[in-house]
Amino acid sequence: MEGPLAGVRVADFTWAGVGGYCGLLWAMLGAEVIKIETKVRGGTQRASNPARRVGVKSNLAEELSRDKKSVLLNLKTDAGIRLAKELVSVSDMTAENFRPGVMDRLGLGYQDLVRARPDIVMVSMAANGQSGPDRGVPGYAGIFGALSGLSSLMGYPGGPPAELRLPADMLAGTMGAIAGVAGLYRRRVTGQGQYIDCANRESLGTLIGEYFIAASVGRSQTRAANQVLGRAPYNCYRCADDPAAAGGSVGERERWLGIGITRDEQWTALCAVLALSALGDDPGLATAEGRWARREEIDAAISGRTRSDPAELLESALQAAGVPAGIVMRPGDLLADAHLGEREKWQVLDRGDSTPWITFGVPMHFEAAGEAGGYAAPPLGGDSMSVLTGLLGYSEADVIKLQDAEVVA
Amino acid sequence: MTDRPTVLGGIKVLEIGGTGAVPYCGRLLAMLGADVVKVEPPGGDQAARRLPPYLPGMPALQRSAMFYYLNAGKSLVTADAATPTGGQLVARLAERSDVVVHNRPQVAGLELGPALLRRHDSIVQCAITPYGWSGPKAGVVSSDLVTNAVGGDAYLTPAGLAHSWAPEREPLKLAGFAGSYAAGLAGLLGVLASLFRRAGGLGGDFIDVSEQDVHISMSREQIMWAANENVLETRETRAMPVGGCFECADGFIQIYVFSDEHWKALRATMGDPPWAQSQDYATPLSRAAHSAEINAGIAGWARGEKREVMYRRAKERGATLAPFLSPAEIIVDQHMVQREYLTETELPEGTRALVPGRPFLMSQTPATWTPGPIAPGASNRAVYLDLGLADDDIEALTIVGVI
Repeated sequence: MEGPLAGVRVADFTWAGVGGYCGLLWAMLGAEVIKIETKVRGGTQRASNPARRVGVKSNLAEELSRDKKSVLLNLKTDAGIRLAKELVSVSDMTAENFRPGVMDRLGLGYQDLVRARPDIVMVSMAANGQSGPDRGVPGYAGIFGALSGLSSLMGYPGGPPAELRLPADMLAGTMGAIAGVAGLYRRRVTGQGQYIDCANRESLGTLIGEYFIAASVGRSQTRAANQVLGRAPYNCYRCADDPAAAGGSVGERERWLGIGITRDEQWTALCAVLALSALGDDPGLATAEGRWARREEIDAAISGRTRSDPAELLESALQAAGVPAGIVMRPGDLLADAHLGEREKWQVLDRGDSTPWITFGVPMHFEAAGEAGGYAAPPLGGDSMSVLTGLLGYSEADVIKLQDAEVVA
Repeated sequence: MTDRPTVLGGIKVLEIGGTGAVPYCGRLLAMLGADVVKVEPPGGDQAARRLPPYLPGMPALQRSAMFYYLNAGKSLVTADAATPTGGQLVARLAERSDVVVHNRPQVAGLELGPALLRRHDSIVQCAITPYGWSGPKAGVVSSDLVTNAVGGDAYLTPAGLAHSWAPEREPLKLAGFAGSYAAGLAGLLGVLASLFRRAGGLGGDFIDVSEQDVHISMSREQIMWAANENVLETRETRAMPVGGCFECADGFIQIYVFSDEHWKALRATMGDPPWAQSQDYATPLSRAAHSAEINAGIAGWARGEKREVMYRRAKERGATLAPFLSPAEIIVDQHMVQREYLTETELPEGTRALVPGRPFLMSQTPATWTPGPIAPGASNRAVYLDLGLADDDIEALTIVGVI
């Protein structure tokens, strides 16, 4: 069990959320992902991140570096650039997510790398892509989310748009991972590599394609909270507060239940479970059209029932009755979830000290190929020596010389 | 349309079931050049064909822009998979496919999942289901909204201005069906990785994608904070200390400020007002400590400015600032026009429309948009003739309601 990408080697120049998640997916699917890091970017990534919350260390970079190798190069030196190219020359795929032009200026653009490895598959993931007037715009999830159209459709009616955060990085990174594997497949069939321009803004836009079609024929949509035209009930409903968080903030106390029905018989079952017999008996609400017309009345009635009951009780009763319903899960709910536990989705990574690292595994399972990984992130440059000696054929003495010259760390 | 080779030229895909994740996976497989046959119940999938947004002036069951986006260019066939004859047709279609993508439907006489892999070990099969193939919740019904809820991301959505504007309101799913499409992306990654492995001589596979898992994986940062650092983020605490969403004269903008470079570029974009020159704001930590006053200053500036002017100045000065754009605005955005992000397509009844026609730009094997009819059973004759049925058989099966 080594994953479908076993045998694939990636020279990974990426950083931040998009690139980190892209490489993580490849690693979890069995590729040998060698992160080529620099002191500036790698160091920033792994340090505490005050853009998140003061005083709390963000371990995102560490999480996204799991299952990868780390080689620390000084890309401001010619020797460092040469080593980077040597790594590409023994790799099947390479990826980066800098602003367009950065890799070219380093001498590591596609035209340079294809000379090192003629059949290399290269994926670039810039916010706005590699061409067009706005290609230089620096992008984080919130920025390319705003430019993608996806954010503009999220939020409460009449209110501001919902800014996108990490899930947007992960979505764009997944698209980058897809692009790379598409290139690898083609290469395995024909022997030919290629360059792939995967713009994060466009990756997110692809998730709302139907709204572009509608807008192009004059049917623009606006923010509608959880509403889906024609579906009711379809919303999140507040349940009884969490007694364990009695003294906490609203955000800590509140529990919500998502109920999103798609069939008439689910409505009947919902009314039975929640004892909403007046609504359940109302012939005007027997059809989706009828419920949609009176969705506010339905939302109010359901909220009236759910507010005093624990979310867990409501969820299990509704699920048992065949109603699509699920708790708006907090991290703690997920960690304690019996279903996820039985599916063995959680991993405990050994970090080599007394603090094991609890994390989520691969979001897919391959019956024949299996999955890979389960290793904690290496320290910055933790694999420099083994990769340079084992893969590139340098002697330990050579590497020590390179370290002394501050080319490798 | 291009004559250039595609990634998946010659790959046959069978797609069965689902309204979001499965058809979206098939959509991208088709863009990458695969021949996708999609099976619907006789008369068409009533639920999927009624999903918004709606298009004006289209025939019944062809009014859904979502259905068109997901399914144009596929060979649409109908079969009642619950009947022995219909199930047999689906089984025969599956057996001649390289890839089968489904949501675990009932197909008479055909056991999907690991059983299909054991019988046909060269097929790459992917099941995308709400909670996955195994485990106590494997058979539990769900919908897009519920997937967003149980996946952990709705709990933290929205953050920032959208949350503080209505702090008592409900958690939100991703817009449209993006939450389901996310699972389709995971399925696609699995399928491509398995095709890669198969091309190396190792046979097919069965890929189990749980929509819940896909969402949890995307929210892994918050979950690890809780698991390893005992820190619980909420929609309230998730607001960025400095920056975020700001209202301006004609809409909203997003600003990201983390490093000193970001802050310098933003100051220049704002015309370096006196309040922003304070030494109290010189480092990331000191800015975080003074975030409320900094954000108030930014908000005051943004309120009087227009998005386009701010975005232009930000681009000149390298600031991380961008306008929130709607799909209608993106369609005419010069950057996207130059990149030919949107492709012209023909809707039923000949209406011209624009669609994001490719997920990314490949130098050798470009992804392409393939328009096509979306009437239920539009490809019944072509596909079933190809399967070896005669015209008479097809007519008889149509009359008895099997196809």
